[in-house]
Amino acid sequence: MHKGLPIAAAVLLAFAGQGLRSAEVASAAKTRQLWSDAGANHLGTPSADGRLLSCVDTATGDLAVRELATGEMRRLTQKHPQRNKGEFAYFSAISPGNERVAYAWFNDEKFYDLRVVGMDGTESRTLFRNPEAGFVQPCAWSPDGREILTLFFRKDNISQIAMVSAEDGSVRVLKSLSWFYPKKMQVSPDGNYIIYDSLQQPGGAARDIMLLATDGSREARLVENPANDTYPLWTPDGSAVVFLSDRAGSLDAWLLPVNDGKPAGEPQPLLRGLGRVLPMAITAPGDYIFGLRTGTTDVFTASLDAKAAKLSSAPKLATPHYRGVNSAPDWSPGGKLIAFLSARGSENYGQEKRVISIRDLTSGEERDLGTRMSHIESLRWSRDGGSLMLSGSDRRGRSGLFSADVKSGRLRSLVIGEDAGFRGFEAVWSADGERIFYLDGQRVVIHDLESGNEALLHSNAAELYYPALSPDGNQLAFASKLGKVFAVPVDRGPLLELPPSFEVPVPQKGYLTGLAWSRDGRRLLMTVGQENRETLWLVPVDGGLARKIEMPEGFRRGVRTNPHSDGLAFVIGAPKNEIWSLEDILSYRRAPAE
Amino acid sequence: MMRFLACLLALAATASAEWKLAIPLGLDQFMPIPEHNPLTAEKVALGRELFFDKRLSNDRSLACAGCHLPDNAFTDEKPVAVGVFGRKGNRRTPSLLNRAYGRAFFWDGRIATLEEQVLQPVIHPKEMDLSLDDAVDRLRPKVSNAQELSHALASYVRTILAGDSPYDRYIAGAADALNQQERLGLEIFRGKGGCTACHIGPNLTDEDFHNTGVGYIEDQFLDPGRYTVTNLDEDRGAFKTPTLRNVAQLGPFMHDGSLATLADVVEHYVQGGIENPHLDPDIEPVELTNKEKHALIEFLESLTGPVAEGL
Repeated sequence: MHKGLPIAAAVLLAFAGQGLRSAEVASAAKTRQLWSDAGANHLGTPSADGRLLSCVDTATGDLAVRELATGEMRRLTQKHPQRNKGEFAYFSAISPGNERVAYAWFNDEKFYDLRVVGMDGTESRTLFRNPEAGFVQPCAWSPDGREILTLFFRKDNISQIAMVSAEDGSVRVLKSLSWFYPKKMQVSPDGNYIIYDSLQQPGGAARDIMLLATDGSREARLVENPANDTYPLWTPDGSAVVFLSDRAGSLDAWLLPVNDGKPAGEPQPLLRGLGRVLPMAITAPGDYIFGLRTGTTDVFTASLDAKAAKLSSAPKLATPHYRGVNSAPDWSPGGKLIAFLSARGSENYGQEKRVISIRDLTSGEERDLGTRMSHIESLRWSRDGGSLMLSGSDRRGRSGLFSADVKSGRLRSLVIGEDAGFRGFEAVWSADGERIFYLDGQRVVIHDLESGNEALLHSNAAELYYPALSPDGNQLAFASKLGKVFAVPVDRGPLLELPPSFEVPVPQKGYLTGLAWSRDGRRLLMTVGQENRETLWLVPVDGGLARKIEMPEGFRRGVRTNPHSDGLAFVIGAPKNEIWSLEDILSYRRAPAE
Repeated sequence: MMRFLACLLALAATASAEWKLAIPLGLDQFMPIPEHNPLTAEKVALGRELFFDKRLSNDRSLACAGCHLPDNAFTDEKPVAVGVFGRKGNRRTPSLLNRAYGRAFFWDGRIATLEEQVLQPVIHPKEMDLSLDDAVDRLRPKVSNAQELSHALASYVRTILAGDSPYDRYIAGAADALNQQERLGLEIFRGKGGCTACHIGPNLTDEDFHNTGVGYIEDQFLDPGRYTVTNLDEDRGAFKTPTLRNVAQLGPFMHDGSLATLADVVEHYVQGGIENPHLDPDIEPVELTNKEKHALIEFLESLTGPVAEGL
């Protein structure tokens, strides 16, 4: 089950050039890969004894615990396949003594409850349920098991550090923070302090390590340095904090002795060059448990022979820059430029900063387009080429759809919705650029940009996804959560279920992950996912057999068709999670890396 | 009288030991208090007494409470502050509600701590116009130096707290704490109104500085605002975001008191502020129907809660 290899090998394999630099430490450090299959996730915490890991069973969405020694998974919740459809467990934390698990549960009203369940799966109950809190993340338990250190992410886009009673769910909000929530929070072994990381300056990227009294009486900046200091973890005896820092040029583990909530010395280097790790906890035996992101995503282009249903040119990497973190491409209306999202900054459960890059595929010129967005989920080039429609959230805390000027990046809000979520809405421009069509849950809405008036184009019994406008601008295609594909005339008309005589290539347990029209408007390109693989299908709109297009290994959705050629843009690769353990990290205190 | 006795009893019980303040619903339990000035009941009581003491002004006519009226959410109703001898200032008296959580003080943010801030009105020629030496001399033996004066006043100001409004109860999970109209207003506040760009967090302010065009007349700013602190062109005409706590009681509005009512303020933002070379890029026109404007105002009125102060 476990593979044992020096951390240098593990990290260097995944991130050439970013791994360990110290040969001494590399040869001495012993790591174990604890979990690496497709279901691996670091949404939970290890138990204090290092025996268990709370997690999500990604096959069902249930809360589970994994026996780290054997890999045995045990579900603690049992979702009803119909009644609880759409619900799932998310972040979780194991209580002291391994008796209970606190977990976030995405409920039937589409926000997160804070729940607890016994380790045997019994006595599940909801501790806290409030749509205003929106998102909750149980981070750790107090040592006496009475309270749960919880991160709230409120509907108004602020985050809060709170202690929630494990008995009655009452809440003590200790501190409010901006949209940029802590990457890691833990309660000290004596229960007196919370350690967390926080931005040094609003709008900045570097963080410091903060220490907050659990009774709210005081706070101190424990680690203050211009470098980026993140992911603080308590040592099991509470005598020190281990954190990640890039102060020496690479992302290393550092140790700061702490006494009575104050630094008891200077930070010492512990282990060099850990790379893109996501530290989770230090167990009682001293093992450093961490997540590792090993996947990459890149934008590629290729030509499509629609008649033969195959790629007629070898896929080509769209950009040589920022390899491994690029996604969500779209073609300019002239077909010469490509815009895509490029993740920058640190790992943080989807809070990475995404910038827009625009590349001229002929000249190779590339530039980043700065906007005042806090999160961009996807983009669509306007038909006149002058702007990009962005779905996501702006720095004013508003979510929905925005327009960014392609030259200046100046932002304009198009549709703002309180319930849009930070990812905004999925949408397309109309052919004349005067309207947009966006999906709001089960509705397709027409939004007139001049007047701001809205009208309902279609309402469905199921949630809708992946809007795609036909090349002639007359038809809007979209998919429903039930796997059906529809098209509706944009100037209203009968809804057509597509294709009428077609065997939908969505296999059992599969799901649609994207839609695009072929350039001739006669076919739909449908991306279908199954068991972490995605395939591309060419489906005639007027009926007939769907044909599978052989795509390169690792193909993953994001298909966009070039409006002026047979070009396709798409994404290859996917983020992948692994869980690792580094034995007895504190032993390196006696033999520092430098 | 009863309050006075209660204070005495509290003082006797706590002496100068560190004292835990009751935090109203909606505010953070953690209140930033500097280590060199821990909150004690003794200092709070003294600070309260000094806050109402007119000897702190040159002509003994004006106490801190003369402009920061406790019954008026700790501001007054004048567009700009009026100090001793009827001297008019340039800016509106800011409310002291929840200043314990502040990171920058005065409209231009020129002061970083409450301990420094509380002494500034005493010495300002357009406010109380008294040197700190004279102030301490007048107050002996209650205080023996300016630091004691500062620490006591700052401690008292930290106890001036507003929370537990219908909005706070709604956020805490009481769905019926806001009526339908107020909930619509909240939706606009967070949504297309874009108000949370600046009015965010428990205290409904980002403690940052923004140019909304107020005071821009005939191609110039009557008051350069934050620019006087940073000398950065982009800060011309920028002022600190005030709290919206109890905002219905805080008019007239803006740094110069130029907008009389909440309806005026809403209209100002609906128009996208006042165009000027340094207008904050986040300020843009907002399309609101009359119904939506009314709902927004009703929501703003729901931000009013009881004001606690002192021991």
